[in-house]
Amino acid sequence: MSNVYQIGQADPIKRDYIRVKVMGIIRRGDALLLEDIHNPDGTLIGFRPLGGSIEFGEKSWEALEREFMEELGEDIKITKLFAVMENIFAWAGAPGHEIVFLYEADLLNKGTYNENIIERMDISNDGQIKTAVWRDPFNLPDGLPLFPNGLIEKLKGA
Amino acid sequence: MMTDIIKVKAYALIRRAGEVLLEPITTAEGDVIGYRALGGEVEFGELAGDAIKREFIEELGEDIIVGDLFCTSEDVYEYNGHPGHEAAFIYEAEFVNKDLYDQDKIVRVDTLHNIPVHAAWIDPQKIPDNLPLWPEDFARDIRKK
Repeated sequence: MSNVYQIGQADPIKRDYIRVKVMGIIRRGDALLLEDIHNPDGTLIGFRPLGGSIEFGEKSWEALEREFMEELGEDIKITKLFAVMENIFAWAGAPGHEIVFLYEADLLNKGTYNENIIERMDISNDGQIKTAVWRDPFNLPDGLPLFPNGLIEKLKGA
Repeated sequence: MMTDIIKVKAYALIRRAGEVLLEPITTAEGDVIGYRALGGEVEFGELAGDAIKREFIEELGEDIIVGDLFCTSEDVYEYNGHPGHEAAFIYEAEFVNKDLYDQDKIVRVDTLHNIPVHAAWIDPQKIPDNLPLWPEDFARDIRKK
């Protein structure tokens, strides 16, 4: 159910290096495919596109394809690089710094676009249920923010 | 393991007409075996643009104005038998000191590491194909644009 943002569980010894991540912008009309972000106490604090960390030796687009396969069991086709963002922030009282490659991409299985809530077994995370929902990024529930910071401004410009 | 962390780098693209400022990589005999953009590693908590400004002060003692992002680059490589992986930002930049555009070569000492730094204005279209230019995606885009 709850998709706790991984950095909140980061190994404190490894905290002080820049994380390099990749996320996919999947569009259905005005909506984007987003997952819920909870802080460590379980409170919903916002939403973000799906993706994850780029592994050492792996290119960003390979990592995005792998993450979608692991988390949702979905094949994607990457269409273009949307932006590369630098994000310096505080998370659960600790500083965080991440680089995020953001790609526009399509789901290859067109039937998935007809599912309003996409729930899958996340094979990379002990088979926990991964939930992704189509949401209008400019009208998110309870006025909660879209992560990573700065993405909403880039979407306005696009 | 520290070697298994993707390093984040930032480089400057400083232009003089059709040329760009690059650091020649040479053998002990002085033969040029490749070129790389000037810059360095982004520190935790630092923006890439700030890292470039800091690196130019440390390496060349020169202030620069950082402009727009030119491209990003992902480089997976092997150096001296060790695997490496960099994610790099390459920003357009200008020297504050305009006299530097009249010098064909800029040779300084990196005061932080006490090593010499050589930079030269090079036309990227004239770099032979057998000489590498780093970062890789920068090499591709600067030859194209």
